[in-house]
Amino acid sequence: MAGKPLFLQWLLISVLAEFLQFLFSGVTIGATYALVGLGFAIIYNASHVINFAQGEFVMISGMSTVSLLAVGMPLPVALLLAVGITVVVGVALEKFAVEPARNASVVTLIIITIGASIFLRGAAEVIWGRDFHSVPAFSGSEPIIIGGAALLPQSLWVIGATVVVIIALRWFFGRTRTGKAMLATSYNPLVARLMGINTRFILSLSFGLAAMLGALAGILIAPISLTYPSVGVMLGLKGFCAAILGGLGNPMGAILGGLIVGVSEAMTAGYISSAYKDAVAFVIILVVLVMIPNGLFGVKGTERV
Amino acid sequence: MIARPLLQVTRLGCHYGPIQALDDVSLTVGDGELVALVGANGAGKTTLLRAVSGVQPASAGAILFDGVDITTLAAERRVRLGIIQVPEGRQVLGPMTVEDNLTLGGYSRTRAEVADTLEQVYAMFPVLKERRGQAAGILSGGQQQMLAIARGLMARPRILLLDEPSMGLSPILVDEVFEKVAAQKAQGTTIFLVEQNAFLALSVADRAYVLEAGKVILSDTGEALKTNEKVKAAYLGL
Repeated sequence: MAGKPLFLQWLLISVLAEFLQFLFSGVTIGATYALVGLGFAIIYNASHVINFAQGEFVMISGMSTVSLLAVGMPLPVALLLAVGITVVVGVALEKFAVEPARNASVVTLIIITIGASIFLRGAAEVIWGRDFHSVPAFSGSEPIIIGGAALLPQSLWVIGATVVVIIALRWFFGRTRTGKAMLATSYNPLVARLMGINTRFILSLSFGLAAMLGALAGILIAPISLTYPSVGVMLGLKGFCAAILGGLGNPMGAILGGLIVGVSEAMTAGYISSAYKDAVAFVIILVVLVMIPNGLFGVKGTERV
Repeated sequence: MIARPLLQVTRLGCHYGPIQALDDVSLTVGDGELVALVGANGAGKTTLLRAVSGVQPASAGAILFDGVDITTLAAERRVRLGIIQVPEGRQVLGPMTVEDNLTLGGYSRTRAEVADTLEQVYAMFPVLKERRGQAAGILSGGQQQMLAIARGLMARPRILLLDEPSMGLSPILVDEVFEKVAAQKAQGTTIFLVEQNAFLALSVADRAYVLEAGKVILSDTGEALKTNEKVKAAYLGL
């Protein structure tokens, strides 16, 4: 007699566990998209350039970590250095590729970043080869069971680090002089210059900051998803999708956009087919561009005369 | 008699691509003077201010500030020298608070200096103190112009470059803005005023220049220019 309710109960629990499982993986990958999307937003704000080399920052930090571990460095040191190397690459990208073409149109600058991304990927293949590499998890790989779903400790690192980054960025833009100067430059570059803000420095800083965010995404996700020279292509595009969905140039929008893309992707992979996983982000881009071109939280794209 | 020159523009030329916006412009602003630059729309007045601020490169000639050649100096370095521009059309940072606009105005100075000047500026513009926590974009046009001027004062200008401060304001507000300008002059700040409203500008100015199609065509004291037949016909509508 008790067989039927018990079966229903079991069914309910397993459905819930399955859902939780998809949610965990969605939020984890969504957090990395959010970090990459934030990078897009920051550079866009400083220069109206969409930096398509953003995904390569993710790759460089992951691959650097692999190399630094290979020469025997302890994991925390390797991670920090990998982020440092990526920031140097980001600033160099601005100095040697974007800055010399400063007076060119925004479209030209965007094409330059596409070229830079191809160059960086090619250079990575020459330096590191085309193999897949794994990076050890920061603190073990014994999953934590919550409601029947397994949560990797690395997922907690990803989510925790993203939360810390969000708080730090809010403080930086809301409380510090340099952060406010960056905002001022994004609102009105001419007025920023008339106030004595060195907008060239702000542009360098935005590339450094974006590279740091991409690098963080790279070292956080590498233990989960492996790293290889073209790992940045998809992550970059999905981060771009996150930024578009949230409203280009809106940092908090990019974070929410990243989570939405990540969770929809995981749900699609779980409930429909993992073959459609990568399509989700691009369907979202199409829908957003057609239905709400300014994104969920974007300001209307009006030009002041 | 002209006071010791603070700003000297010598044979300045400026181009936007092939278009010549300024041609062989020479003028001087003495220390403590209020000098006006009048002229029609498109005469090159704003271009001249942009060149002095360093956001528009000069294609010929030189700009000297306090005897030092600043023709190729970066804009942010000029701000540190005390060359402060209040741009045309107010251009407050709309999404940021009134207070953030003001503190950013003092970006080139130390935190303590900024805090000090902020109190003085609030004393001068009580309405800005009242609305310090509000977004600058929701202020009225007149208040935004006050904010733009106050933001300029936060940098402690040695010379204040004012671009069309009367633009888009009602006559009462224009009077209010010009009272503040006169108060600044009384405190010893050198002012270089660009105005389309020639009558107003000539009334407050010690001396003035008339710019036409990128060239200085006349210069004299404000009062003398007001009675000049050519100026009367072309700019005062008399």
